[in-house]
Amino acid sequence: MDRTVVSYFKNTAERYGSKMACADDVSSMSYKELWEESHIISGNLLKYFEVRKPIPVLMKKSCRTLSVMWGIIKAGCCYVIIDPMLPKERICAILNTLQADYIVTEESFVVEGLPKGIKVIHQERLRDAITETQKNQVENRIRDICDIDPLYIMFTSGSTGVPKGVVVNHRSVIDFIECFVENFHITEKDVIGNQAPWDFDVSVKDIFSAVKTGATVQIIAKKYFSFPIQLAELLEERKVTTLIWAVSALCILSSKNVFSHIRPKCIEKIIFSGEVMPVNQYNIWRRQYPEALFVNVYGPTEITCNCTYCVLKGEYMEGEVLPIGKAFSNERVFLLDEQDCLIEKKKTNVKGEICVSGTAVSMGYYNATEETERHFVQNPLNKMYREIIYRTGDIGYYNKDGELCFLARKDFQIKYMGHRIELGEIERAFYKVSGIRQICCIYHKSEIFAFVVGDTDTKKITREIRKILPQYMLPSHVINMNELPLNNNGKIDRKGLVVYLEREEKC
Amino acid sequence: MNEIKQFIIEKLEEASGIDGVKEESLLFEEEILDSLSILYLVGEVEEQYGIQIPLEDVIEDNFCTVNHIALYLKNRM
Repeated sequence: MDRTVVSYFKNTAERYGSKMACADDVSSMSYKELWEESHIISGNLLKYFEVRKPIPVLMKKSCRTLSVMWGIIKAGCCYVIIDPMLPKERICAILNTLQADYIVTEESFVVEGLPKGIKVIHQERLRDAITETQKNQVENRIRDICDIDPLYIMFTSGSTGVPKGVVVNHRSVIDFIECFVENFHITEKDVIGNQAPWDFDVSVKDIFSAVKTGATVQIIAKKYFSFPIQLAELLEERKVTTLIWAVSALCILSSKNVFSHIRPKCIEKIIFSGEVMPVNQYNIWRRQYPEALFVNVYGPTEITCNCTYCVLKGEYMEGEVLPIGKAFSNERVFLLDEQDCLIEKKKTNVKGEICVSGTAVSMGYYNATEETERHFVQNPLNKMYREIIYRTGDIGYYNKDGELCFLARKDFQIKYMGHRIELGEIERAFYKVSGIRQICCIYHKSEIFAFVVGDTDTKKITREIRKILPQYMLPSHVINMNELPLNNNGKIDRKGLVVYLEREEKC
Repeated sequence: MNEIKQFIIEKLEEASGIDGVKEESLLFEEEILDSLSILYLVGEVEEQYGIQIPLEDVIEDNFCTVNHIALYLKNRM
């Protein structure tokens, strides 16, 4: 087995050098070009970064960004993609956690308000020819990468209000990707339509499945998801075969009756995750693509992309639950009850927390030891030797076929538009707006509602909140209240607020 | 025409929480519109002007700026 993802890349560049590695709206690159370009970038980066350092990249996804990413990996460093459209405050929080000295960005971005002392490297300046010595240095760096070295850091929502950076090493990605491409038959013939933003780990499946097999990554810009017909036309024109997408993105095509205008005919693999797929939407897809492979995959960023999968056969009945299935090979996924005892597979419908152990469990959160120790813990079933598991905080159960099913969250984390969001983080952002005395966020019928008590009008609140939170975390409704209902313990009565919403809906 | 533009800007600012949306602002590059808020905008416009906007008209050429949206609506009315 390969030791680092660079050997995936090297093998593919040798074998499929002239094949297209990636394409976006305006450009494309062959594997040979991508290999050479990323070598040059790597050579130019060496003087700034020691090995194993995180390198923040403030760029939108594109072929250029991919070459920067590989330049970073070849330099023995770890890439951190940051969406340039995030609010300044959040970008700064991430850079502070990383303790970054430099960021890589594009000349066209004017970046203001960065933490003091951070220097900007323009990606355009990383493309000057390198010397023979620099080239040798890059080769040395590649040779010295260990499989436990971090490959990327992805930031996820944290309930304390500070985003958490999940550190994932080469070994975890290799462990996962080997199973992924084998189980779902991804080959050099595939064109993978990349929907996911690159600061989310769904993109890891697109990027590293392609480089492992020689497939092409067709990068789909975010705006296409506002224009369903143009999205379908792009899939058709670029002969996309494989969709590894968030559920909400798939629903954009199925819920709008797009298929009656255009049905992209090359699609043969549809792999989805991020939230629960509505059965009626799945059935629309299934009827359009009766022969295609449909897979429901599940897992948080902390265990490297996904830990379970379920290959779906035929249509499902309304009201049925699409299972999340069984563990990928070399991973152990199990349920613990409230006493930390194992729930056996044959016990159907018994609820427990989904826990994961294996090589794909990540290295924890960057620069956050306490948070790491809280979630990455010794397996309570193992008293004999060190075995770290990740407690997902998700509640699941086994159905009558022994397949794992997702039920709900243990705490106030929600899954929204493919993102895992802590409602607590949204609430903390509201407290930063002056005039707000009390706030409670509720997730109801796939929308986030913010109930606010204070002296500010809702438009002003929305405006302020946008400066703090990324778009996908913004509540769809902000509701001004005179007071929030309390339960018997004196806590905010969340159920009471849901009742309030249901009453409003009826009016 | 100005009235239409004013209405669109108002709705865009309401949906996005961003102030100072201009007639020529690039709605997608500046992330004023996204896959959710465009549905909201289309709904509001349909209601206001009593028209149906077919899916094949929801394309970048018709929705990239306030000016483009207004021109499209004017031609439809």
